[in-house]
Amino acid sequence: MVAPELPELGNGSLEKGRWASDHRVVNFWEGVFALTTAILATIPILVFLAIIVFMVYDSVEFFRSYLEEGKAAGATIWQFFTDREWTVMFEPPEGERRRIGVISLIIASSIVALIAVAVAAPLGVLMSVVVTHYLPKRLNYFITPVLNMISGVPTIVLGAFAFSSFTPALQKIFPQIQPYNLLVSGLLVGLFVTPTVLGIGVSAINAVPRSYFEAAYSLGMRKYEYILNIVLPTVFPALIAAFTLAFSRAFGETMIPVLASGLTPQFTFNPLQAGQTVASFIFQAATAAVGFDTLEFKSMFATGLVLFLLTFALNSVGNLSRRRFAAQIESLGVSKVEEGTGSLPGEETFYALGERMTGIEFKRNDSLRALGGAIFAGLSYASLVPTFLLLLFLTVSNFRQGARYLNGKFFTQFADPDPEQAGILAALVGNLWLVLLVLVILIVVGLGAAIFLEEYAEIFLFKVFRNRKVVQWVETLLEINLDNLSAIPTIIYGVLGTELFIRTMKMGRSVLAGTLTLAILALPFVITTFRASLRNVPATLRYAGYAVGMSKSQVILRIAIPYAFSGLTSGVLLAATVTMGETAALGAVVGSLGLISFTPFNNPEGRGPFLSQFVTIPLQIYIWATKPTTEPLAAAAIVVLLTILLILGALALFTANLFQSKTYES
Amino acid sequence: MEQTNIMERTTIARDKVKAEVVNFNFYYGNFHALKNINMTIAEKKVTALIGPSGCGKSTLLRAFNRMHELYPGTRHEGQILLEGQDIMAKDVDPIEVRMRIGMVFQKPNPFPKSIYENIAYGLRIRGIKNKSTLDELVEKALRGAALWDEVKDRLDKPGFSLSGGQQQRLCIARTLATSPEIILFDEPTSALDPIATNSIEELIQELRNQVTIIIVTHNMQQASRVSDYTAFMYLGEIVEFDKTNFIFGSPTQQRTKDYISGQFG
Amino acid sequence: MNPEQKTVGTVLQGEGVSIALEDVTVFYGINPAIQNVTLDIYSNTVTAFIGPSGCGKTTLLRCINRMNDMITTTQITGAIRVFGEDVRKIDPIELRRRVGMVFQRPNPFPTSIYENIALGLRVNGFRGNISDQVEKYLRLVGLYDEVKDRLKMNALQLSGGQQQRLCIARTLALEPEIILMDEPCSSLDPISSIRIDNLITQLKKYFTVVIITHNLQQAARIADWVAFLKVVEAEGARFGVLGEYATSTDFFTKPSSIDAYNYINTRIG
Repeated sequence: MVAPELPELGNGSLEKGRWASDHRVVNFWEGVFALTTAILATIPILVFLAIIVFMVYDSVEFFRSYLEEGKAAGATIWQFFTDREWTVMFEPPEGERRRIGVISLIIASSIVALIAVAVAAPLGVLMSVVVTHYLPKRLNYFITPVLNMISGVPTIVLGAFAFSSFTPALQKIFPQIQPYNLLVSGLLVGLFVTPTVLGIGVSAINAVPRSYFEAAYSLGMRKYEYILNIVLPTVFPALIAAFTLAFSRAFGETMIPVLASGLTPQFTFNPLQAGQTVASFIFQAATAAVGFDTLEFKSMFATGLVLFLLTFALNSVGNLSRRRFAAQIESLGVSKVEEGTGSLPGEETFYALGERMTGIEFKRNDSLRALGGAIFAGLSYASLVPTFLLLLFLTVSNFRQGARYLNGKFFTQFADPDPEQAGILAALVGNLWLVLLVLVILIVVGLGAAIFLEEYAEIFLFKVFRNRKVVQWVETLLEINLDNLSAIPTIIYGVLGTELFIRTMKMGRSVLAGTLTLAILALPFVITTFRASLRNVPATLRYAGYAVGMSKSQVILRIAIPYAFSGLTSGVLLAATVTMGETAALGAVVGSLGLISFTPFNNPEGRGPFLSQFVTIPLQIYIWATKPTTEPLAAAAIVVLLTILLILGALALFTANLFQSKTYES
Repeated sequence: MEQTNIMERTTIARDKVKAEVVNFNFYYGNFHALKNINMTIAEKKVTALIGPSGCGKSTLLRAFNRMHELYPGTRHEGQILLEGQDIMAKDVDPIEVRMRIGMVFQKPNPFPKSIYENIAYGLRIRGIKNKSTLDELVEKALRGAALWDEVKDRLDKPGFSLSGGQQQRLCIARTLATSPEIILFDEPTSALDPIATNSIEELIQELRNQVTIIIVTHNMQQASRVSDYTAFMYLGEIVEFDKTNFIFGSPTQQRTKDYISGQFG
Repeated sequence: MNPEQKTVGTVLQGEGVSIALEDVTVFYGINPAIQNVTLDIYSNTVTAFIGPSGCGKTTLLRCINRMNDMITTTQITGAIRVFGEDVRKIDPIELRRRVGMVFQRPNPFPTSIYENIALGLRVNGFRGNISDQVEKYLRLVGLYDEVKDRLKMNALQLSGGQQQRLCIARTLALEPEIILMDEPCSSLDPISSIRIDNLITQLKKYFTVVIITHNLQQAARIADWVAFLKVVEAEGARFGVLGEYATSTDFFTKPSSIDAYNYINTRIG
């Protein structure tokens, strides 16, 4: 083969003037860029500190007020743990004290969470198996998002369904069930947290080295034998982590117990009775019309601290073991092969195989094995049914109930005491405005923080600590902290927002306070997804950028972000769905829910679109769903909300796969 | 071209035919990976498949136990006959095929289980549940793979605690335990150091005459050392297939000559 | 194969030393990757780094354009001079323009063919006409005629060999003085890899080329000098040292160490 004729080239070193880039300027902007991202990255840390400081400070305040009020009745702090009743919301008679037995709330939360895990664990594991090993890939593309959709359904919708449809239906079969009870909450919260198990299960199963799969099949294993004998035992630690995280999430779930289990605290172990969970009490206290200095108001910090500590501990355990599993499975994939350590077999070890290994009588029972396979496959597919049925029922029943109101008038009118005149204009505009503002904050802060943590943190920490072990330790701590922050019950953010933005910064119960609360709520999740997208950028592509003389920020801005663009966009859209449907946290910020018949742009007090009062669709649903006369209105609003969420979800899915055909093969 | 010549020389005269590949074509999506392959596999002999990367040798190997069916987008035409029965036929259960044809992979891939369990799995699914029979067969298999003396005191230790070469011998033992009719080796030593490689090669030489072996290798010296027959493949075709000493001693094709003398690949 | 190119070993050295490694030792954390390497790489020659895996060839190569800066735990002792200047005193961005690099797997940016080359020119503040420069170097690597009608096409749609030639063009377009290549042909088919070999032998007219390869035939075909790195074990650590540095002809015909002899003989069957 003849090489192409080589054209004459000028030697670069002789023509230095051709390259005009000034390294001092480049390095200056480099520093500015890194510093900006570093500042943005401190925000989640500050949020974490703020949660702790406010919770602790106000809890102390709560106990001080309690001791003062109940001095005559012998109040002590220990009653927090020893009382059996919880009567904080009731003014005590003269000479008496309130009962502050938080244990009754914790028991109720635990019952709900245990039932939920009993539902979510088997369903989630079987779903993961179906998704990874049974469904064809093309079908999977639609099924997984649908399965995940259940945790995108605003919990207010699930709560409304539990109270108005599910419990009555169960009562027909088991009359002893109370109208408000913990069982129904547990079952629905279970379905709601199934995607937590599904997500971790799928990624763990997918991480099982391909070599196991080849080894198992080459031995003649059937699919179910491979799954039961190899896959599930291998991913067992990850599943335990998933169950822990699901338990924690169920423990702090707010709106479903608020609507389905009632607001009367009881010391009971009977799931068929009503009971109040920790989170639902916080919601009640936060939305009650009480002053900032009352014992009732402060009680939500004491309970909030309990909820925070418990879920934080559970999440830490869950996230740590999840990490440990991920590290472990990575090392499993790479066989330990050390050169020079293979020993030569001794002479005596060879045996004539002919007579020894042949002629074994295998007693294979292939029809029994085939049956086992069919049963396992059937069970796995069956795990998809509850979620699908629930989604279908929610859509159909709400649509039928609310169809009467779903017309143009519904979108152009304000909420009104007369159901026939009522509409969701204020809620719709308020909701979209809020989400828009939240997204702006999330993109700026989230991207900045993600860039710092992913691209600069390691180098920065190394400069500070000069020790690789310490750096890894701090990084792990940061990451687990982020994971934990995104798994904290949202009501905690509501409490924090109330205290920080409304009480301390005096923003009032305004759009601004709501926006900032939702932003800090979604920030950890957004940073984590952004980081994952940036991490997916192949190292070799970054090296290519450096090799042509790009600076670090140029590699990030010109190579990494464009490459990660679809992942980043889909993260933003997912954040939009989360904030769009959030109820509990905003409920706490808005406080006592009244009738809002104006949009932030034409509010009667003339406070401008940032300081106006507001209402969102989930809050409007809550207001309507709790009164029998307006229930159909709630159904109509649910249809509107679900439609918007569905569109956002579909867009997120679409963008996530938009550039998949161009992905880099490395 | 020299088709007839090849066919003449590849006829296996004295050895009994264990398997036969007939007009076999294979596609990954639109990519035609194997083009009209015809070859015979001699019983209780070692047949080596050699050729540059991407020539289709691994694809051909994996077709023998239908591993390709585990990945989407593949399709084949033609037959592979195992003692006259077409194992590629639609009505043949691939699990049945894999029960009869074992495989050892490029990288040692023991299960994340004890040494004992690694071998016992394959036996259990074949209906052997009795503990003493299992013990006996596990020992036989480990002896067969020349691993018994090294691991007999730590059968309950995880397979990963072994060195790379030992892991690979464990994988061979796992396959041997199920007494397959053919064992497929997919570059079994490419992840191992020279000493471990040597032990695996010795083992393969022990196993010849006991079981039919097909081996894919990049290492031409290995092919010439361990195999009785060698097929040289290039761009999805068998360029030359013959007794190993003919292929390495007097290849008839220029491309074979170029490849074994290191001109490309 | 092209008989005119059988010039292996005849060019012993060019006008001077391009890269001087003086007692270079690289640590990852506390583990040495390669120790005490001293060698001079001559201008306008092709020098091949060869050796078994784990001998630190890639580590050494990446020190020359400070690609190891990205790994926080790397520590380098000794001195590396490029045309007499210590690389630690050159701004890494400037250094990487002057010392280009081609990687093991083709890694074009996921943008158009044109942008792949233009991006590097722009970030370095290229003063000339960008389209002319793009065309010139696409021609140089023999890619222009194949892609001239589809310069806006995404580079990932090219074949592996074309992608690698694009990556070479991207590197050359920055008019570097030295080109580092890390197994540039290892993921390519034989035909593409021969094309790239031919290109490399021509490039030394203008550039100094350092190439890592596992393929000794390739090393023998294109290299003027061969640096053989071997793995040694000491005090429980395994690291690479320079085993032999000789002209290609000398190295392959009469290697002076037993390690090199064994390495050549196990590699060429």
